[in-house]
Amino acid sequence: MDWLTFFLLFLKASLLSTGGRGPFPYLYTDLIARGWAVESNFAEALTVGEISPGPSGLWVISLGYLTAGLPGALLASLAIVIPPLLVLIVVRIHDRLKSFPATAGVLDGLVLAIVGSGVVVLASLFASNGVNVVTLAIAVIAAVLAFDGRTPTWALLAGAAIAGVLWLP
Amino acid sequence: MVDENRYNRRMASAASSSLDAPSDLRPSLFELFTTWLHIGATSFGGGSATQLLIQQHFVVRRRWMTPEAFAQDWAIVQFAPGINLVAMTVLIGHRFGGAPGVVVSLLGMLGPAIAITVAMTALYTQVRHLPQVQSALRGVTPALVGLSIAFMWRLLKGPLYGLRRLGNAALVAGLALLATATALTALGAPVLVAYLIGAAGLGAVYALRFRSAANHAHQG
Repeated sequence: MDWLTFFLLFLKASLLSTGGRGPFPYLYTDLIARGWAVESNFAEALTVGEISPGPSGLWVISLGYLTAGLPGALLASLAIVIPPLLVLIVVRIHDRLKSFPATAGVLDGLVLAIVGSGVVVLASLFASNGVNVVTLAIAVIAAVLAFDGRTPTWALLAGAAIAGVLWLP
Repeated sequence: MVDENRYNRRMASAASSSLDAPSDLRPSLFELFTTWLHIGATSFGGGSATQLLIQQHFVVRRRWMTPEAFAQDWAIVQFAPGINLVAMTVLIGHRFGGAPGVVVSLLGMLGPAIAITVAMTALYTQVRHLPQVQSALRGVTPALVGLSIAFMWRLLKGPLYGLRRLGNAALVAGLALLATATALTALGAPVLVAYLIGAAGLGAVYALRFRSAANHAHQG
């Protein structure tokens, strides 16, 4: 394992994105291309991120553990703590930043790109898991329940796990 | 006049120097740590639920921050890279305790959460070889995809609303950028390229639309 590259890939993913899911397309393409992760690692890590306490963005740390053990988890932790520290610089230039209309555009454009790239990566994850009636039904039901917002995420995932045990042997 | 200038400067620096809260209502480093510890251990999933939890602790319960200061900090955090909630932790920690405040806040907010995340992952690797666990994962994966689609739709609503206010041309440009990011990633271009094109492209769209709006009427 090339630890420096490993760390820099995780740092890039967090630094050049925003939010908990922003690093997902980066890590998915970079780690799978290098053979350091397989598709299912991302489902595993995202699940842990959803059911463990703290921001769901901590899924990246779970991914670090799954791909490179405890040192991987530590490097991933560092990589997601460093970029938000830049808020201390942002706070000094916030008033100037805010006065440019382009600033809001850059942030909104980043969100558009995260969604655009994210959809592709999600489709790849879905396909690698197997496309059939049951998996399609689970995805649609999960999306509808999540839109609705009344079902807690852990209950949704638990239901999907039970459906998997029953119908996806 | 002098007073007014001083007031303005004070308002401008309020975000970093916390002049908005009386000094006797400032948390000690220890209180800062235990408050973030509480938030970190009782928040799940992040997002707006955790934002509300932080507000509960710092604004409502302890009155360490005014609602205005909290809203201002949350707005600033949107400009920072990485996880917004972590940036909020850094900003509030710095507001009340400088560099040591940042350290204790991050330790409280993320320490137990990281430990539990790692422990859960380690436990999982002990059972992942079981056929039932593999079946469960096959069920959970499409659920995560569905969840993420819903999540991304929610993310999209902000930019789409902003673009619509800028007019149909801006909205079309935004949708074209969205399609471009999708196509680039599907064709195997680096994610960074898609992100840069999205950010730079929409930055340019906003700048142009605002300039023409300013020329037409009152926009500043």
